Amino acid sequence: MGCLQLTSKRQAIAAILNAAGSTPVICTTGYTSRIAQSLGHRPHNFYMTGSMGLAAALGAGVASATDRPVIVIDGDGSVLMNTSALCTIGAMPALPLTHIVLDDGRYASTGGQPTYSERHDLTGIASAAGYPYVMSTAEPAELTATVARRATGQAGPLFLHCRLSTSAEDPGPRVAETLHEHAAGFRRAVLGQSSG
Amino acid sequence: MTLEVTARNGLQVADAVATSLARRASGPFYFTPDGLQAPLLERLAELVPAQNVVREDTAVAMAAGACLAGRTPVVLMQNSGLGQSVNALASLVLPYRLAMLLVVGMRGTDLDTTEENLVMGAITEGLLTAMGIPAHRCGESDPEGDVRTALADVDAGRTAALLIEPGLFGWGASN
Repeated sequence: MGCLQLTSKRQAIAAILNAAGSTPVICTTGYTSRIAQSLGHRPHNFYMTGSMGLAAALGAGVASATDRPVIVIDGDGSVLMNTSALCTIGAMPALPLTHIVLDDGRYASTGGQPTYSERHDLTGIASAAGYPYVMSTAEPAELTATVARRATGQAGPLFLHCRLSTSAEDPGPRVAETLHEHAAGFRRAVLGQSSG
Repeated sequence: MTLEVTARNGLQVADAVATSLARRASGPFYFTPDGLQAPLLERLAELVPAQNVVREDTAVAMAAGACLAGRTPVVLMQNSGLGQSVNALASLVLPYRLAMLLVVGMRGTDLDTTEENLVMGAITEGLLTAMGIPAHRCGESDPEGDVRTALADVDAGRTAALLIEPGLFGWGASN
């Protein structure tokens, strides 16, 4: 196809945020939140700086309460830490949740230890857990097009697996805002969207 | 005869708590398994949409998402699930100042002498205190008032717990 292949987490997150519009985006702990912040904060970004493994559940809570599209940027290590959450999400067939897993095969923010994610069929796990839509891509254009399509409101959880080719990158500084102020700002953005 | 009276009172208390929760909290209501709260779960599911969740910390994180969407979520769990949820509370709910009601069944206390629950029973209230989460006991004399008191904390922006002791809804050691 001659398409550019995704290489880094930064490139993938930029591709997602470029297409997200005003859709809430939940970023998992570790480098994902830091990279998203360093790309330029948007009020619809939520940086979950701790609680590894719970980003998808948090996103499911927002999507369920608003009945509007929500995008979760998860990682291979964090989704493996709590695969049981996939079963709860898979049992919510109308949930407008786009669950993207950026898979670099490493616990990047804790020293790059291997997750052995290549030994697991993550889309197969999501499908078996009940996600009606699963796909894999390593192409930025397809990632952007999928996020843009999902941001218009397709119902039903989508699990999107993106394998990256490197985990070595500068994530930028830690999240700067105090966490309760960050939560309040995100809530205002979500409620503004809901009332609009 | 005593057992029958206890069971009937338990169902009445469960009905009062369910009705009060349904009336006063916008939800969503996240259900995880707890034998002590079985009559409450059954009655509440008749009054509100119940969201079953496979693990308690996942339920707490979903409730955190609902808070971020302006809702007043309720998570029902037994205290072993509170143990499972410590990190979700400590690193997400509390520092981000999200307010939800935790309805916590107190396994391993009072008439529940099951050995596997005794340690969690002994530490539950201390754990909540250490996290700065106010805990309110639900009693059979005024369950509506106890629900109201706990939800007043949540309405004021604090996560709070409502504690359910083993016999409150009629659970017995033979269950």
